[in-house]
Amino acid sequence: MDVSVEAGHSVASWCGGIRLEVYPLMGRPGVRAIGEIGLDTRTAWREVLARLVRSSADRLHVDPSRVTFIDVAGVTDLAVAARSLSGGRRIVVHRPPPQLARVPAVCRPELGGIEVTP
Amino acid sequence: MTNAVTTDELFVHPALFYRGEQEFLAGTVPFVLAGLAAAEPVAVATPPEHLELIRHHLADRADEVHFVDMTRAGRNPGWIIPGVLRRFADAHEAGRVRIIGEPVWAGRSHLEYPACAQHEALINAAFVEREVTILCPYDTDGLDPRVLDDAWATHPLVIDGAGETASAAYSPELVVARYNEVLPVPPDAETYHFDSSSQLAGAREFAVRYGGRTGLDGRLLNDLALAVAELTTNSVIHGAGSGTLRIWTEGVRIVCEVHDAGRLVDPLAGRRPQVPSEPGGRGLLLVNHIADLVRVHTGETGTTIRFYLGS
Repeated sequence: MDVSVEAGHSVASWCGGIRLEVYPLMGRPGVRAIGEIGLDTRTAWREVLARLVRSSADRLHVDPSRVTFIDVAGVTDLAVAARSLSGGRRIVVHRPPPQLARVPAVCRPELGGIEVTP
Repeated sequence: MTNAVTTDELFVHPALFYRGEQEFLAGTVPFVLAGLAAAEPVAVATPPEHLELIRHHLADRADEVHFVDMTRAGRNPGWIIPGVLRRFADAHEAGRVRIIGEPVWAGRSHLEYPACAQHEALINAAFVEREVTILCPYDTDGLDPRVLDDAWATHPLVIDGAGETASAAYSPELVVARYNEVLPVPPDAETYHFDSSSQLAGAREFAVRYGGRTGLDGRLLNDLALAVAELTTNSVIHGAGSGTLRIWTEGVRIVCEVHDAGRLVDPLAGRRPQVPSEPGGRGLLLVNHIADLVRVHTGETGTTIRFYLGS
């Protein structure tokens, strides 16, 4: 299906059974992701992040607690998005999936703009 | 023993052939002290017993040296360049950096050794134009003569009790090719074929189910899922869109491999720290990081990347 990302609306990408849904968070700037972030949902994930970093808020929240799997490229996309922020703005990741803990070893210098909360 | 490692060239990569503790110390401690005297950052990455020896003989100056247990950080030889050597060198980019790196010791298994030899060969390509000296000790009493022959081929310079000798046998590309060995698959391996991106999740779940049945859990099961995802994704993107996953158990370890029809043309793939702002290229790097051992075979029939997990 087509991927469309609009503020205030849910976003979904289905491809070959892999699904990624993204919803705006209530009461703070950010998104909640549900599903899987991998090769087939890469384009949608990047588009979500690109729109997220356009917000002018100091702290941009990402809740991937219902993401069942995120690959290295998905984490790297998150890190690259965080690096694009200036002026002390940050991406706050809430309750990350376990893959996130393993990936910093291969993209450590990029993670400066990310704050992780359990 | 002399220790006048010449530094006319930017990258200097001598092997130190030593016999016994005294020769080891005579070849390493003055090397470290010379680095400190020149205000060069110095790291020592060896098995723990050698770390302790060097630390003891450096006495007060040991605090100025970065020590790394190579049996842990370098258990997978494929991780030594990005995770040990480049990590230290890249953190000290101004001026020369000096490292003792001992990736081959008597306890290395026959499965690990080919990856060790390829690692030693690839160091030369990984540090071209870098102002770095890496001294690699080789225990001439404890190591197989074939290992010492390979060290002559992977190091432009060899230091032993007689002094320094430029290696006439230096030919790192031949060592990379020599240990590009076909990897036999046991008959009890379980197999999953995938031929599109829509089957990547299925391949990952197949491996995770196998790992779960064999008692893998927690971090290791997560590592298995990550490694399988990266290798199978690489096959879909770079390996003609399809591949075969195989998984089995050897002793206490899970062994898993992904084969595809592509050919790995970059011998440093998975060994280069990635440019921070650049997406992509981290999959094999991550597999090198999390696995106990990675072995690679590439040729006319395609590429197989095999990893061992379990500790």
